Amino acid sequence: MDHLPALLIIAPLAGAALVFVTSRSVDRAITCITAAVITGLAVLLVARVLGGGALRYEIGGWGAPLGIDLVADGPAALFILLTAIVGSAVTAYATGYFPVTEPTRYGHGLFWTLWLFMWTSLNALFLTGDVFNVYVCLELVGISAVALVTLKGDAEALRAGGRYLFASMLAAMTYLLGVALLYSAVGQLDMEVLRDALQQPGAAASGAAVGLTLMVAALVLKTALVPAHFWLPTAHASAPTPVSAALSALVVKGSYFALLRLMLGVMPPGFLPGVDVALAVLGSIAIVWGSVQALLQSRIKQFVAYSTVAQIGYLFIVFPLARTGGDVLALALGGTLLHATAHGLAKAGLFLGAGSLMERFGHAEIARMRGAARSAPVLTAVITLAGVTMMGLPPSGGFGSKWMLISASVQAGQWWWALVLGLGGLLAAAYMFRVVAVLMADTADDVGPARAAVRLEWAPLVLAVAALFLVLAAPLVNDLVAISSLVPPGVMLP
Amino acid sequence: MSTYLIYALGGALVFAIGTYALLARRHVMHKVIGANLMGSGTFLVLIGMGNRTPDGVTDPVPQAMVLTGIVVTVALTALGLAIAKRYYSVTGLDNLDDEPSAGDRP
Repeated sequence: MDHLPALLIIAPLAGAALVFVTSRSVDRAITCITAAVITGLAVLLVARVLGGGALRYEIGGWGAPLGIDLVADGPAALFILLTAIVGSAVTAYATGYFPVTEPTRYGHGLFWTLWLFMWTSLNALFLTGDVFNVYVCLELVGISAVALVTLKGDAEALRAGGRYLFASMLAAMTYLLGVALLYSAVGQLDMEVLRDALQQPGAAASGAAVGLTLMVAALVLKTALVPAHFWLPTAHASAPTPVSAALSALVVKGSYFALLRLMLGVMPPGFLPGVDVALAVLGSIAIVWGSVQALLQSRIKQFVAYSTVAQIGYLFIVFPLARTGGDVLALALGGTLLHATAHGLAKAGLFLGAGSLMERFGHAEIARMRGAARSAPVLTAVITLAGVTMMGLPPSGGFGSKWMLISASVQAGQWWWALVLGLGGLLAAAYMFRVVAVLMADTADDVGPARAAVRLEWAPLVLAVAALFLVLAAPLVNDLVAISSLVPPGVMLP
Repeated sequence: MSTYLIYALGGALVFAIGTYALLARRHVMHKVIGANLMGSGTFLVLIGMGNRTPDGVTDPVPQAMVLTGIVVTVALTALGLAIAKRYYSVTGLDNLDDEPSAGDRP
C-alpha cells in the first residue's frame, strides 16, 4: 500500500512532538527541516495523483465502513501543496519574526509546536474521507489556531482568541449533532458510502436532511461567511503576524474544503433545495460587505482581515453553478480552486508584508505609513503585487479564477453572478489603491531602521510573485480538479 | 414512545439549553458550561442510537463517536478555562463583550 497520505500527517506530527520535548535552541531547525520534508512529500503526492489518479488509504488496513479512510484526490493534493508552500514561507518568516520581537513575551516559545500541530491537523483535514473524522480534524485545527491567536497573552489577543474559541465551539457542537442525526438516518460515516446511500430512492429522509443542514451551517460559521464572520477580523488581526498569515490563507480553506466535499461530493444534486443559492447570495453579500469594511479600516492588519472576509465570498459562487453539472461544474470548480490557491498565496504575502510594515513603522495606522515606497521598497512591492491578485488583473491567479467563474456563470445562464464577480474586482481595486496610494506618497513618515532579517521582506515577496504568475499553473489546477470525486468521470476541461 | 426517541428528544432539549447559554449569557464560565451542555445533548442522542440495530446487538460506532467527542470537548473546555483565567488576571473582566479600558491593560 502507498503510505504517502499517512506520511503527510505523520511528518508534521512527529516534528511537533520533537519540538515540544527538545531544547528551545533547536526549535527553529527542527521546524524548518519538517517544513522541507512536508513540501517534498506534498510535491510527491501531487505527482502521484497526476500520474495514477486519486489515492485511497485505509488507516490500519481496516477500510470503510468500519475503519477510517484517507482520500487523496486532486483537490486534496492541491490544498496540501498550497499548505506546504505557504507553510514553508510562514516558517521562514517566523524564524526572522520571533527573535526580533521581545523574546520573553508570553508564550512565544510555544509557536513552533503549535504551528506544526496546526499543519498536521490541516493536512489531516484535507485528506480525510469520513464525516466524523472531519469533526475531529476541524477541532484540532481550531484548538491550535485559538492557542496561536492568544500567544501574545495581552488583553486584546485573549479577547480575540476567546471569541474565536466560542464561535469554534458553537460550530463544533452543531456539526457533531449534525453527524449524529445523519448517522441515525443513514448509518454510515464514510463520504463515498454516504453518497451512494443518499442516492437510493427514499434516502432523503428528514433526519439526513436536518443533519446535513446543521453540518453545512457549522462549516459556514467556521469558514466565516457573512454573517458568521464576526470572529474573524479581530482573531486574524491580533495574532502574531506569521499566525495571521496562516489563519487567513490556510485555516479558512480547511473548513471550506470540508464544506465543498459535503455539498458536491456527498449530497446528490438538489438534496437540500435552496441551500446552494443561499450560500452564493451570502457569498455575494460577503464580497460587497467585506470590501466596504476593508475600505473603512484605519489599521493595516484589520484592513487585510476584512479583505479576507470579502475574498471568502468568491468561494461560494460555485454552488448554484455546480447544479448545472458537466462542463460548467468542472469550469466553476476549477475557477474556485484556483481562486482559493491564488488567495492563499497572495493573502499570506499581504499579511506578512503588512506585519513587516508595522514593525518598520512601529505602529499599525495606514494613514501614517506615507513614503514607504522609498524606505521599504520591497514591502511596498509585496502589497502592490498581492493587490493585483486581489483585484484579479492579468496575469495573476485572481484573474484566471475570475475569468473561469464568469465563463461558468454565463454558460450556466446565471449571468448575475458574473456581475457580482465584476463588482468585487472594482471594490478590491478601490481598497487596494487606497493603501498603495499612501505607501507611494511623496511625503514620508518616520520609519525605523531596516531590519537585519531579509526573510521578513523576501518571504512575502516570493508568495506575492507566485500568486501573480499563478495563471500559468491553471492547467495543473484543471488536471487536479479532473481527478476528483466532485466531478463526474468523462467531463473534459477546456 | 421508543427508548431512542426519549433519548433523542432529551438530547435535543439539553442541546438547545446549551446553545442558549453559549449565545445569550455573557459570563465566560456560563459560555463554557453552555458549550459542554451542547456536547452532552449530542452524546445523549448518539448513545440512544446504539440499540437500534435490527438484530438487537449494540452498534459500537456511536459509542466510539461519544468517546472521541468527550476527549475533544475536554480539550476545548480546558483551553476556554485557561483563556478565561488569564483574561481575568490581565483585565479583571469576566466577559469578552466589554472593550477592556486602557487602564486595564498590563
